[in-house]
Amino acid sequence: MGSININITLVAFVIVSITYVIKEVWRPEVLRRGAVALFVAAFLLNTVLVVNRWVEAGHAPFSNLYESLVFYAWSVGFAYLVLEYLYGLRIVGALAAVLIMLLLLYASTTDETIRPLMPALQSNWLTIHVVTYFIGYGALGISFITALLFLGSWIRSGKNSGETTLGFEKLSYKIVAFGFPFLTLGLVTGAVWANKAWGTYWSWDPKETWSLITWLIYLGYLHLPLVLPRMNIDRAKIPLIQSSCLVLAFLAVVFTYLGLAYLPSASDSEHIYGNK
Amino acid sequence: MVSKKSAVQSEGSLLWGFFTSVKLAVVLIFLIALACGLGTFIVQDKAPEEYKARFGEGLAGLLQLAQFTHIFSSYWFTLLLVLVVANLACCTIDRWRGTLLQTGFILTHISIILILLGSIIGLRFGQKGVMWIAEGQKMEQFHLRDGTPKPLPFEIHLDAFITEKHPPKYDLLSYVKDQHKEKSLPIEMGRPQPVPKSPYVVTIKDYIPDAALLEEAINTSDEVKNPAIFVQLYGSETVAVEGWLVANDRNWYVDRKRDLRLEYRWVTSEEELKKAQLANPSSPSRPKLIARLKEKGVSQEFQAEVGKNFTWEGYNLKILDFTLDFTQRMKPLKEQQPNNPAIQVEMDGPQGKESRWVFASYPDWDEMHPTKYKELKLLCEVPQDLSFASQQVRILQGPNDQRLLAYIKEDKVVESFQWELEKKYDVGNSGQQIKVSKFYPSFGVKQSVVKRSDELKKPALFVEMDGPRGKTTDWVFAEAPQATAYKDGNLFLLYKQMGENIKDWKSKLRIVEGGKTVAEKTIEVNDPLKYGGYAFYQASYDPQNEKLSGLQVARDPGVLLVYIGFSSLCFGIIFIFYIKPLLRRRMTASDAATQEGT
Ligand code: HEM
Repeated sequence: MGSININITLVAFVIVSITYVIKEVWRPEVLRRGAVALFVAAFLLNTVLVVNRWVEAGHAPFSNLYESLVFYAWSVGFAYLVLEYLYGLRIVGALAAVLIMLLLLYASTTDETIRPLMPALQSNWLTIHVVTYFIGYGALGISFITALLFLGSWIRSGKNSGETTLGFEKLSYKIVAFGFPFLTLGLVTGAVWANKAWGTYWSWDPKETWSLITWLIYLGYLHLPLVLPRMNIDRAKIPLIQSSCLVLAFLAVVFTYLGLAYLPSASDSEHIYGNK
Repeated sequence: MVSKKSAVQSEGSLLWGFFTSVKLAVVLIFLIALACGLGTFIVQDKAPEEYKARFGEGLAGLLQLAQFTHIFSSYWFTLLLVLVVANLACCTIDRWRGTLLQTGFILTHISIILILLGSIIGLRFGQKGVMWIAEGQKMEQFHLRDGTPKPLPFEIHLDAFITEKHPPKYDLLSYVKDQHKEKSLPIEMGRPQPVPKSPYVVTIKDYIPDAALLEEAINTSDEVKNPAIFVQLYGSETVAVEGWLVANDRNWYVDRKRDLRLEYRWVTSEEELKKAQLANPSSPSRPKLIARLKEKGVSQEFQAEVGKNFTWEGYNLKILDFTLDFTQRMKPLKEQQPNNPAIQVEMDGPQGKESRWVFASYPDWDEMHPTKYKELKLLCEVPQDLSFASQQVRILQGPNDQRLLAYIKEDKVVESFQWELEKKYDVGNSGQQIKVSKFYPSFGVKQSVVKRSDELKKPALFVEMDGPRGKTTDWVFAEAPQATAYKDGNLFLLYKQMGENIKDWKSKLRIVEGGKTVAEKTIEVNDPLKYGGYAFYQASYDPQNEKLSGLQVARDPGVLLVYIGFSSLCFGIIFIFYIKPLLRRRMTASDAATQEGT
């Protein structure tokens, strides 16, 4: 069941990204609204995947790598649609669809067996914690895309950034401003859950530490506009520094999410997805 | 957003300028992030030897000196946090306007101070530790992480400890040998499941939740290929024991209660028949003692009869005792079961006398225990069919309808006669009777799988395996000691219980103070008991002892402050990013409206 559905959803997102590109390049009238509508349809397929899993497993579906990848794909879609509604992201949608596609592709190669939850994971705090985190991560994934778009067009336009590239930097800031509160809620609810389960809200476990690092980098990014303009640097370089900071920040997100198993301290951690 | 220079700053205090700057904030934020990163790449809080092994003497020393081996409790990391607090406090005071729009800015910045303050109080005045408590027990102390015991100001009783389990879940695992690949296959009836990247397809054809493997004796031919008889031993009127004796396989049965040994033999000549009925024709195997001198490369076997002496290679060996079950060795031999046979040997050699137990099942036992004669290795062999029964019934059979039953008591043939199928014969005058009720010239076993119940107990799957050598079908039992193999010996199937089976642990706790119960709660994971500033968390259990509950004990007077900080942080951030923009928009809209009005 699951593997068929995930393949259909995958194909749907491939179609979505192609449609977005066609729409941006040739701008046919039919696709003005059509691309977003298609995105919504593909997103609904992804929603079915998540809900089905939730019902089948009998618990919130993020207890293993497969479930969390599918849910992260959903979160990216969700964040994209909200931000599209708020700010009109246009071509960003194509790359969001590609990101979702990659996540689903990765998910389809992992073990999808449903397993019972260990007792500590059976908590409503955990559900809130993961949902807020992933919506935050979803938005930050999109800010990563806009930061890349900024850097890409900055390189192409020969360092003399025009209005369009600056648009991407302003958009990035707004997207982070949307995602950061979710990230903060995720961090805080995680601490509350740990305190409920083990009597410590913070223990410098690698997962906790890396969530804090990610949070700190985004926090630093948010403070940058207050600092950089008053410093002795070329005005034109400011958005470049900010976008680079965002790319770095998202790499930290990816590392927190998937890379911790490669840390020397991984064996001591309670919450790292085993890489079987 | 650039604020007007405040009065204090204009006085020109350099320090104040430093501590109110956002530049410092950004530097601190990235420095702390960097320090945290280091703290995960260098494993923290390990023994000095571990760092030496990992990084070498010189680098390890340097890391320790710079406190990189315990960053989160180091002086410089603490200093960074102190700077953060100073920075936050100064800049918040400096920019304080008390306007509505500043709510978020003030809340978030104060929240960090509260959280850090709360955590310091927790670290300074709190305690964290563990307590292992058995069902029915009471405790008045717990142990800190470093092992020091801490008294509690009350008694804590564990009235019950319950481990709840999920119904077991089973996975069908395929293993392809030449790829070293294990893959779990979905359990779906009737749908062919290709094993990824292999030529095999597995289809589940049937499922039984509680299966038993039934073995049925059958006769495969009228030719004598594997003769066997079905023997029944009668107590008074009813059958006391019955079973198959197979001449070329398991051909004996020892009934310790009745002090009787049954044996079935197939003889091919008249001569053999005559010999076989005599007592001890081929004396039933006896325990053996094997002595070995490793250095010289010599070894020798001895019949291990109690009281016997052997001289060998300068040693004098004496068999002191023999038992079938070491722990039951005080009982008469007849009543012992062959659980742990052993021989006691006395050795007399150059260094004097010494005695040693030699165990058949633990041949290395003597090497692990001190002995004078290290070089002398002793082993013992105890045959499976060893019996000390004083009565024997020998059932003999040969090709030309030769049948003889011999009754032997105390090594003497008491009587022997022709036996027939379906007839009862007295066993001496013991009051017991014996009957041979079936004879199969070619004994075989047919296996079939049957359903015992509808409960999920011992599930089994009937699978079809398709591959390069065609289709085969077989049953795969849950937790079978051996995997089910496909014909080519390359594909294996295992049906295994998977995943964490524990659903929850619950401890029924009661707190007693001055002889009175003052608090009571059944705690479980994620739901602790709090009393008197202490909190008791269900943390773990001991898989070896299901009645032992592992509790986490925490006393954290700072946690309230931390939680206030958390709430203020969340609300402040939501205000800054979601509420403030809305307020702004409304304000600018009303500004525009008033301007239009004038
Ligand atoms: C290291 C200590 C920190 C210092 C010294 C500091 C300082 C500042 C300053 C001076 C501003 C400018 C406010 C204004 O222009 O009115 C600011 C803004 C901000 N700070 Fe911090 N900050 C620190 C840490 C934090 C933390 C931990 C958070 C988040 C939880 C945070 C979140 C923010 C936000 C979101 C803004 C933007 C406010 C707005 O746009 O209205 N800051 N910070």
